[in-house]
Amino acid sequence: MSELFMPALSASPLSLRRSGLRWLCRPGDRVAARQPIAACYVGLDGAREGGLPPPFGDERHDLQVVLAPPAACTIDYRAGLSKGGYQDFIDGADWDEGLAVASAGPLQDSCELAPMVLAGRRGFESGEGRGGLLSGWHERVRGFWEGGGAGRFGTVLALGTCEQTGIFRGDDMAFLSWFARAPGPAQIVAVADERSVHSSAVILQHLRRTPGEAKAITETVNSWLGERMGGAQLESFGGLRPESRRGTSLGRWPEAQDLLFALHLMAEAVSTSPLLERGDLITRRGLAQSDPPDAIALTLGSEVAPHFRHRRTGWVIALHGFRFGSYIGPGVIEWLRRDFERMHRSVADVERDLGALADELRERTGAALLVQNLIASSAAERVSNYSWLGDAYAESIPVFATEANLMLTDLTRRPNVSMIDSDALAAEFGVRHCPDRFHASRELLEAQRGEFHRVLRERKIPGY
Amino acid sequence: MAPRRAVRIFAKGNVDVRDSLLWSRVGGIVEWNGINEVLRTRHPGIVARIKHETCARLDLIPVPGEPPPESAEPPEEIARRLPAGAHPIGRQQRTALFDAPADVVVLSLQSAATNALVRHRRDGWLLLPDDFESWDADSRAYLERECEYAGLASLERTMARLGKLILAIEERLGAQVLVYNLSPVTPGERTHSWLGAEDSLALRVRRFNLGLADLSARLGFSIVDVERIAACAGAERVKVDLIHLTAEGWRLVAEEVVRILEERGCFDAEDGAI
Repeated sequence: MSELFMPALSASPLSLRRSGLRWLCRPGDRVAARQPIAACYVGLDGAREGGLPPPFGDERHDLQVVLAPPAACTIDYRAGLSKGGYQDFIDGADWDEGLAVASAGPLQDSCELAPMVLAGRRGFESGEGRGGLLSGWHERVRGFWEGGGAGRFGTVLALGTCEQTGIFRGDDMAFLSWFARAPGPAQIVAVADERSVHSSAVILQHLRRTPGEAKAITETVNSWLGERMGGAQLESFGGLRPESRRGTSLGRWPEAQDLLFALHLMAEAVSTSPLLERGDLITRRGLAQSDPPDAIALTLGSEVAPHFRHRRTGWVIALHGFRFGSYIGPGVIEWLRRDFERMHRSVADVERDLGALADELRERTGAALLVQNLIASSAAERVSNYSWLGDAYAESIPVFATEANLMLTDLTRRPNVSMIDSDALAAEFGVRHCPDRFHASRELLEAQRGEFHRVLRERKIPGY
Repeated sequence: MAPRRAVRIFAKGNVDVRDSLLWSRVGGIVEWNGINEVLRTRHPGIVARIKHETCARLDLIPVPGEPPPESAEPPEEIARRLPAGAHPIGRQQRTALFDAPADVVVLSLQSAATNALVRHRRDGWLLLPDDFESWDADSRAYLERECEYAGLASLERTMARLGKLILAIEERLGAQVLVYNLSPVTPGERTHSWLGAEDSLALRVRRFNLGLADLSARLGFSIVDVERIAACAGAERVKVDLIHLTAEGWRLVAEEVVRILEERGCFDAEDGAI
């Protein structure tokens, strides 16, 4: 039996602290190479010289490290490293490089565990959701690992819809499948689409947004919030009225959800574009900073979400249709109807925006776009005679998807655009693996992940 | 036992229409026995009588009332002299399609998407040098000396010709027209960047399939959506290469043909040929 040690990891010039370890598998389990066996929360202690802001910004409340053996083995833990309860949630001790954590058979030599750091920026910083790996709602999460590699961290930013959550964050929501397959130094960043969907129109406008335009957006939202809150009547607060004195099923002030949603939309729109954002890193030698993303994963699925343009400011947002009513309340819907206009985007519009985005990124950061195409075929929709569709022909899903996929193929004739052919993969496996065109089975997700990985390697993104 | 009613199908196409509608033979063994296998179960009183003709290329099928372009066909002497393959040269630009009544005409995009022709340098006639690798040295030398590569069919020309052909079939034969598209997927083959590259056959197939859907929207004929059939079943399971399917794949295609004929009311007739 050999020993597995806590790895070298440093936040120098600050000190790195950790919580108790939480075991992710049972003693005696056979684990694969880079399959995490333990995780802990970490925090930074101290301050930087010169009044610099603390590293990790809002992410500093949600930093975790997962630990994995570098090769397949059978694990037996050392007792006393997991404290249980809240002691495994808060950083209470110094990072202890070299501490023996587990024994591993049949590894020949004792070795360090491989660490991956997880960092999450919550949608609302006070909204703690500690527990599992990257648990709770984050507007942005990332995982990075140095691995055995040297050089700079290659960064992939996933901006797609839920189909890419499965590919990049995986079943575990913590990038474990990428940690297992990419040697490093590598980083994956995922930005959620629960607020605005990241279509090419939305992210291109965000990339080009000026402080003046951001100010106009904040003024617009402020004005609408004022209207909504100023218009509240006594009967708006049903849960506080006399008839609720002995109990009521009325919960949160109904207006709150609309107001919060508008604030979140605004917060994203006036913050740094994720295409440009650098991130702090914890490495063996201390704190470092990543470059802006080298590759950006998008999906044509984002382009089909309903788009709205604010009439006065030109602010463009895209929202998933399924969110209306159940997630996005009547106040926001009314706001969209009154102050926004619906944008009808053709395949040519998408081509224009994606092309402009690719050109602008090439010039600014040199990043590549990896765009998933649409799954055109479905078991549910069988059209043998297109004349029966009448005026709906051009907008029918098989036709739109095929046109959009061909457009994307043509766009890949630009040097920094690649297509991830989800359509071909789904057809290869059978579309039963993705019956609604977006939510794939584990098998198909793994194939899509493999294709992204292949393309990242072909594009020589560092760390992959 | 009551006599079975006959559906007269004229199938103009190559391996896809033949293997799905007539039979699929691999290594001398019949693996799929054609559309009548489906009809026996679903419509026991009906039998398909199929006349099959190969298709050198869709845009070479003569359309009645439209004179063929001058010097379009190779001279008889050349047609006799050069090897035939599955596409006899003398028949590449002829068809028996309009010679006898038919209830259903089945066509396919395959030849238009994948078959490249050669053109005689001096006289301009076109031919498909089928199975060129097996030609004898003299014939190969003749072709290389006298002819030049004329390439694949253009999408626009193919769709224009196909549109005219379908209108002529409907007008002269009153037949239902079904056109097969192709599955562009070849398992394991994926391209993420087309930088500096020309369209592959798979990409051409996608463009042709879209063109066919557009034509169907305008003319109202039915598409046998082989792309969707393969995607639903899983191309890994039912495809051999770009064009060939497994026996299961051909069965699924034949079932779709029957389903479309049902949808079109082709089996509703009370007596005789429909």
